[in-house]
Amino acid sequence: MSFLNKEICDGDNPDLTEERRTATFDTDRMAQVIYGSEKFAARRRQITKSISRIPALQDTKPLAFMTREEKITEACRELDVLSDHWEQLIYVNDEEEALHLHREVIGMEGHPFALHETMFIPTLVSQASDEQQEKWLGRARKREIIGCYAQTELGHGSNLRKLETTATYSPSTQEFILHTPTITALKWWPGALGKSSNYAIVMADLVIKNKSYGPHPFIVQLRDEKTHQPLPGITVGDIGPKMAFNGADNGFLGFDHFRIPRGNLLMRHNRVEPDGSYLKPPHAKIGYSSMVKVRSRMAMDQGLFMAQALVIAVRYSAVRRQGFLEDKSQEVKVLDYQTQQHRLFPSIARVYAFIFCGLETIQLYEKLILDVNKNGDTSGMADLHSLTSGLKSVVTHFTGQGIEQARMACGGHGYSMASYISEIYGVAVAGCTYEGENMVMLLQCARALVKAVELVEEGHPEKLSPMMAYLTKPSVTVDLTVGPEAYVKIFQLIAKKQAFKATEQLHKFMVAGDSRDVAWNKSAVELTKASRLHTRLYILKTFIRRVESITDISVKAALTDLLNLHLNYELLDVASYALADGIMSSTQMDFIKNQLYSSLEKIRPNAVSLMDSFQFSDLQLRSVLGRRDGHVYQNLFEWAKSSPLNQSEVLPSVTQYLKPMMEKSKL
Amino acid sequence: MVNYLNKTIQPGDNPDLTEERATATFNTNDMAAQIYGAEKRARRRREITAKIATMPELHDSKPYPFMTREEKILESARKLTILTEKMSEIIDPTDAAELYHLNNEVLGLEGNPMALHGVMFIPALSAQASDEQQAKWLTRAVKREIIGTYAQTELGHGTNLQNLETTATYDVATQEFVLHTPQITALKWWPGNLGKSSNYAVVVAHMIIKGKNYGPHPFMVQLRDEKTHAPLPGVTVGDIGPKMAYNIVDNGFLGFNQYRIPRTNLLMRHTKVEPDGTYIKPPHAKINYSAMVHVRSYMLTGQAIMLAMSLTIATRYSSVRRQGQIDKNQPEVKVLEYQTQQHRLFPSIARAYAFQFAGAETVKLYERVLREMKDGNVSLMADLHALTSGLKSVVTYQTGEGIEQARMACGGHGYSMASYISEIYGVAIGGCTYEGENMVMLLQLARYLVKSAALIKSGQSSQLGPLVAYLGAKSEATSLIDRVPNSGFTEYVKTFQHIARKQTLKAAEKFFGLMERGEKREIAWNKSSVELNRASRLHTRLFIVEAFVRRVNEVGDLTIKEALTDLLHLHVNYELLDCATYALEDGFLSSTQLDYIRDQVYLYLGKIRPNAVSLCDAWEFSDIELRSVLGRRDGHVYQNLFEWAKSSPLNKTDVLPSVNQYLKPMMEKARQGSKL
Repeated sequence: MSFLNKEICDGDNPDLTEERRTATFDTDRMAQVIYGSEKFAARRRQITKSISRIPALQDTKPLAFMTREEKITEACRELDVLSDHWEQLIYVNDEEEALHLHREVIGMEGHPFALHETMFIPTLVSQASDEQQEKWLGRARKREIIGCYAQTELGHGSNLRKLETTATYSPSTQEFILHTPTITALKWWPGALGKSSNYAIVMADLVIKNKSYGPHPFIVQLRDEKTHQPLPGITVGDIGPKMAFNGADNGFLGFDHFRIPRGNLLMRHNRVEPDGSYLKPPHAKIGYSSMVKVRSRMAMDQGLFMAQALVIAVRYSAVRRQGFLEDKSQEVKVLDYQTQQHRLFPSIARVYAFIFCGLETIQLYEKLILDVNKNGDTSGMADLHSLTSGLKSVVTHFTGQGIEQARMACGGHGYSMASYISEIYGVAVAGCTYEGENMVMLLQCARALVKAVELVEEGHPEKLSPMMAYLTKPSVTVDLTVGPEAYVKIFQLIAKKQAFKATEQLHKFMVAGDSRDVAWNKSAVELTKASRLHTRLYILKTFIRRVESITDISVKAALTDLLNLHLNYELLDVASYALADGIMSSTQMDFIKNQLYSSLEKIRPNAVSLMDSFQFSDLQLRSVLGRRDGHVYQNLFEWAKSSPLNQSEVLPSVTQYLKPMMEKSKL
Repeated sequence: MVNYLNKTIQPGDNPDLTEERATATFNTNDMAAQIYGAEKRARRRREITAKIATMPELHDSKPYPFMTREEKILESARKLTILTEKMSEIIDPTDAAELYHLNNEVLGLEGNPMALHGVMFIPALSAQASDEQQAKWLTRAVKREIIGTYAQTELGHGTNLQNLETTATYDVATQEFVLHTPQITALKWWPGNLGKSSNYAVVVAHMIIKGKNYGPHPFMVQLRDEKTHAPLPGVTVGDIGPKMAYNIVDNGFLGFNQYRIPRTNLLMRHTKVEPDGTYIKPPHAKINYSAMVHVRSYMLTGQAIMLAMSLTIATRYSSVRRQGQIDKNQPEVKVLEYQTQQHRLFPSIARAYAFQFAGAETVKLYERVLREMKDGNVSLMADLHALTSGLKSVVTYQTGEGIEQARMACGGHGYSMASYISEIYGVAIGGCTYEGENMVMLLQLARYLVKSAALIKSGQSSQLGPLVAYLGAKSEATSLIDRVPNSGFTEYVKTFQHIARKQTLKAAEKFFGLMERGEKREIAWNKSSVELNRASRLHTRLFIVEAFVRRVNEVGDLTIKEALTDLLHLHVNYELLDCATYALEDGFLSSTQLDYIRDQVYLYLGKIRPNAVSLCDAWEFSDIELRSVLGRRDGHVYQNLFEWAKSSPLNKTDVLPSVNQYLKPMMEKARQGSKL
């Protein structure tokens, strides 16, 4: 029999099959919408299938049972196997396919090559001169050496200008002397730095003849290529266990007057001559394009993390039965409880929204790079930079929340590592901190907003970029029953109102005599609120745009239900802004709530299928609760029986301490 | 040395931290007396801490994050056996609060191999075993000749007792109960210390006599041989595997294969089964909330302490960490100077105090109810049971939120296990699920609120319980919050009462309305449940605000009162802003008033700033208890982060097995390829 939901197999838990049969759309078609194209969605499935045929690519045991050392070794083993099967599995130069392959095989907890591919090689490409590339890039690509990127220090985060590591030029020997002057100057956190890499790009303050030229990138050999021992003058190691990402050896690195040749300064843009003359690049800097790229991707990555957690929670909720509703003969699926739906479904809508934002910002980024390369037009990049700052912050925060709610929706078993959701949470929530701490990001976004408000106030609304144009819209009364556009209008009004209000506060402090910086700090919380609303407006509009562009009627209908849920849930969440300004009435509040609850009911029959559409394999999910076949209980038992503590019947703690204690008490 | 009000200051500390402590406007020892309820309690806490400091055998032999589960359990068992011998040198073993503090310091939050023995096994024997049974087992348990636990939840069944599947079938011929696990979902699952440590358990199973099911009853069951500790034939027992946290506890599974125990192993204090199978009911079958109320009351202060621990870490670190400039001509500032950082931390500091005070009040209420129950007055128990359900839910949720925000406020280093905050989070957040899942808890309270709404509807407001009496009162037309500036907190309380009342009546109305339109009761309830939960949260938050206000009003010491009043101001404004939607909806609060409330929040962030570190120091957590490099009392974070990292497991060797086995051969092979 052919079902619209393609995940159905014989022998599955009937409670799950029942859910899948009620799908109103084809899950393969939904996968096309999620992954951006029919071709990629199909390739994903092929890759998953190919992987499943290579037993050596399966985890030898659950990652949750391994120590950090074991996880790292396991990741290396898998990487080793992958290098033999690479070409047979994916198109080698396709970044998306490689990402998918890694997500399935290695998982999300990190691996020793993570930084080699994403930071070390790209930096060599963009910063090393042609001769330097000749020397190192080929070796790096062939994996003769393993590298990482070392920037942040123990005492210093993202504030580049405050880095303390120095690279002092010695003209007599034509060398740079790398040095760590204090403990706070230790490089700290770079991934794969601790144990795996033998090379690193190191950011250090370039000092020539006592003059500091600011941070510059140097390529530095850290370990002997044969013995892998740290070279003399280098202190390097792992920074210890973390909340998650424990398959990665984040490291520390210190230099004791460590000398490297002049030619190790990456010289594509700047040069230092043998005599110590410093040659500046022709135009100051290309700016933040790599940051923008990473942040553009983040909405997508985070969306996928949250999707994994929700697949697990929604499937499990359709299998777990607890309590009674009408029928007293059988306990109900917990997914039938409104509270459970309210916990999970708005997050499902957010997952789709974030994925769509990810697709859109990645496209936007690629288009802008073309513009920059074609005609040097960088204007759009500033816009995208402020947008992705806000987006990064809002998306990571909601994702963390959504994942934790998904875990709690699984009750006690969610707390077991067998659910794997707590690991997903640990990995995802790190996104609130790395690549720019969320508060800092929101304030970056606020900078652009305030600038825009000031343009309006100075009478130059024509200078606003399209993304800010709503700041000039007049207040109107809105009829919510006309559809999504009405919700956009309300969001625009409250986002505008808050942007003006926060700016007004900033100006008020300045008028009262505070410097702009001090006034900025005193207004910071209000400014972050403005940034959040601005960002949430963008997310909403993207969701609407995306749904409008869909042609498949059944897919469109299912996503329209999800969009309706999203609009009402999000507006309810920010209702205090709309109520305070009289933009919305209490009658409209009741309307929104009713819409919200009826959306939950509408989505109920499609809930499992909306998550199945992400087509995560069991290998990738690594979750006993989230298994495709729904056979949770038997497999929980098997998982537990094979866990480390059950390898012996009597633990050393009992033999050494508890038994003697009880024996002694009997005397 | 100057005599500072903050008693945490010592010579040689990081001056950035001393600077913070020097600005304290109150004596931290006196504040500790407020936190822990009495001067004596706070002093005893300090004495115990000082005593532990002199006993190196009670200190962690290395940081917990460096240990595997097996190592952690071994370490914990090591300390437990020392404590078994030396307990009375350190504390009064009959004092629950002292024992709690001792365990927190020495054993830590992650649990221990006998955690359930003291809090569930012994109390179950005390409450349910007959005198003869107590003579047989209770003394052995107390002397620790045996280690026990309490096994109730099953793999397929949580709190819903009636649906447990494990059976205890009476065999009249042999006068035995036959324990059996009929299918996989019937496996006992989750009980703490069941997996590896306990050799006995109180097992809850459906009692069946002559084909008739008498429902769940408690049985005393030996699981393992007392000599070999091997599981007895017919018993399948083991550990359920690693968890998000609590990994020192060996939560276990347990299955029976027609396992026989004597008739007399049914705990018979209340019910009895005669040799011939006659079942004798307890004299009055009443719902016994008391144990649940007890546990939930204590959960509140437990959660408050975990929140306070993470805030101590984050606030101290925030005054040591310097990053960025506010004024471009000045050096980098302490991150605590940023308004966003204050906004992240200070409202949670206020909540930690609020939860602690609400917890203490609930415990007192509970004790009062117990006294009144002896006189036959049970009315308050239902009130209190409903309230603690709501409190458990709201407090665990907000605690989790607060701890995570504290961790993120520590930036990258917060993510390291050296901060220990993620471990505290894992332990605290378990509270959202255990002892009644939070949504279920909120709906329990809602049941009580709806009942109260029905009373009001039928004109019987006078019969409302004391904690819900406000539901029957009339609201004023609008809030007077910004109109009567010196009204104390009355207008805030009134506003919270207004919104809790309005939402309760509205949610109840929705439920009644659905039923009037023909929905079955359960369906109507389910369709109203999100709105009902909103009502429960507001009712609970009102109680927390009121408890905080009551407590501050009782404080005599002026400097303490002033500092707490600032915190209370922040609390009421922050919380009201957080639920402003409800107050704006019907125009009870105006947008001008909302602006006023918002300004008050920022005003009090600034006021609290000089006391922030001292408000956390006042909880008087020792470094041993905090187990955090970032939260060290002396503020010497960076050197110690480096030391911590150097001693971590991966740095025991320079070259990992992963490099020798895979990465080196891979690079060699690539180099060989290049040479060809």
